[in-house]
Amino acid sequence: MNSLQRILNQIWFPAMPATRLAFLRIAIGLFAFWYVAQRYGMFLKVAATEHSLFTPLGAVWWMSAPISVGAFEALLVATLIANAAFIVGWKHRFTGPAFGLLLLVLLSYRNSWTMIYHSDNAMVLHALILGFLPAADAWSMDAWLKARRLGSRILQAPPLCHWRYGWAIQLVSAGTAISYFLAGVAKLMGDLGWNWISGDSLRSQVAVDTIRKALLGESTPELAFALYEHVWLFTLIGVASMVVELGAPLALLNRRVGMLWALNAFAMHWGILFIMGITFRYQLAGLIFLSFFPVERLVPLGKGLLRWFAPQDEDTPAPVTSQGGVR
Amino acid sequence: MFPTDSGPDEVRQSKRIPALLTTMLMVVLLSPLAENWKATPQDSFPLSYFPMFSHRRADTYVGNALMGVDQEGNRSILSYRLAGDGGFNQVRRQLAANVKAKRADDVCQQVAARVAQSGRGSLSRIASVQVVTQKHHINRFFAHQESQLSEKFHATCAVPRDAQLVPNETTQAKSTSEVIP
Repeated sequence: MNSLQRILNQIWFPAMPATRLAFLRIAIGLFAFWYVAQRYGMFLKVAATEHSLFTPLGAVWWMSAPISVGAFEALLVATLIANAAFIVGWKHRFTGPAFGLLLLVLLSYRNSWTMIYHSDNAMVLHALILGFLPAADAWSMDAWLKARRLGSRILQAPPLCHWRYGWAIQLVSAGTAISYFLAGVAKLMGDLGWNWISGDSLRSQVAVDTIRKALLGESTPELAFALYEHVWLFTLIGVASMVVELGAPLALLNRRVGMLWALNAFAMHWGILFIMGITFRYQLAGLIFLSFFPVERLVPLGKGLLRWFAPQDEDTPAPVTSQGGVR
Repeated sequence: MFPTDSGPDEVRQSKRIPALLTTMLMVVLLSPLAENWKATPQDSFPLSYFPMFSHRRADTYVGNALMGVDQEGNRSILSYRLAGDGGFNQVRRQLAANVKAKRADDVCQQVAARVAQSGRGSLSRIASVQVVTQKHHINRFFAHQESQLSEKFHATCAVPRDAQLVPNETTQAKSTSEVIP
């Protein structure tokens, strides 16, 4: 294996635990379920919008007219059912791809009414990647049924660690990093070019967004008014944003760089919320960045915290691990 | 698709398909880059080239608004939620598309009907609705000064309530910055 192959192997096929991929499946699946279920009524109203405003794109680009509201509701329900199966990891080989594709079609249709909600992009890409890859080898119905079939207790099974899980996680991270990189390139290739990072340019973006909101009766962020005179601050934010966006591919090369990048991108979204009042929920919740962290370690940590806070009966013996040691 | 752990050669062999799929996925994910070089770029979903916040902005902003006018002629900004569903930016764009397509009257009637249906709080005082396009000076807006430079009326319609609540004349409206949700 030559050095280039070795480097590519380290980047794309690092051994990672199945539980990390499973954590992503469950967390992203839960978010997608909440996201769709909470908007159930609103999505139906969108589907009933005047047909002249229908501009099909993405997976529904081929449609010449909208479908009936009843058919759309069937799509909504099917997506939620597949979503539930995805979360619990039941027959993932079938329900995983089904969920990814249904979510893609559903949100393509939802975004085909004059406005693309770019905050949905990463969630759909992640669902597709996780749906088609073995994200239910741990912490799933499939794994539980398999363990039961084999006659072993799943809780005693050692966590699987394999490059195929690391590969899937890296693909999820790549989907994230590339979306930020594309946003950075679009800013440079736009009519502002490198001037985008000047305080004036970024401030004008914030200003237009604020006036838009004011004109249509939406609340405006107070911070936008408070910071408006401080052009230097917008220059600082512009430079930082561009570093985060154009530097995103570097996050794939090294785990620590990836974590550092993710923290900065996460902070950027909270900054956008405070200054512009824009709620990119998937990003603000940190879900888009989970793949950069060893998130599966949160589970034993959470269990430990639960035990710490749970009332202890002094007569109850401490639980014994499979190795016979006392936890 | 996934083989079990084996010797180095078999592992290398087994990574060929994932490596190929990775390359294909990277090409697909990066394909929206090409839009940046097109004369009329097209955004899509989920493969977007993320053009938001990349355009040059002028010192002024031109945008549509929905105004409510009460019996005394006081004007207030109405919430976009009265004009449609699907979120702020979707309604904003649909309003722009409708105004451009000379369908402002339809929007006006729809908003007026929703105002009448709601019949609560400040909305209960609204007698008529206007669909307008306003031009604002950005620096003055942020200095909390009078920022409106011009206004174009596209449609005006009465809120369908009681006959006596419908105003005869709405063009005598006074200006105010109050927002009614």
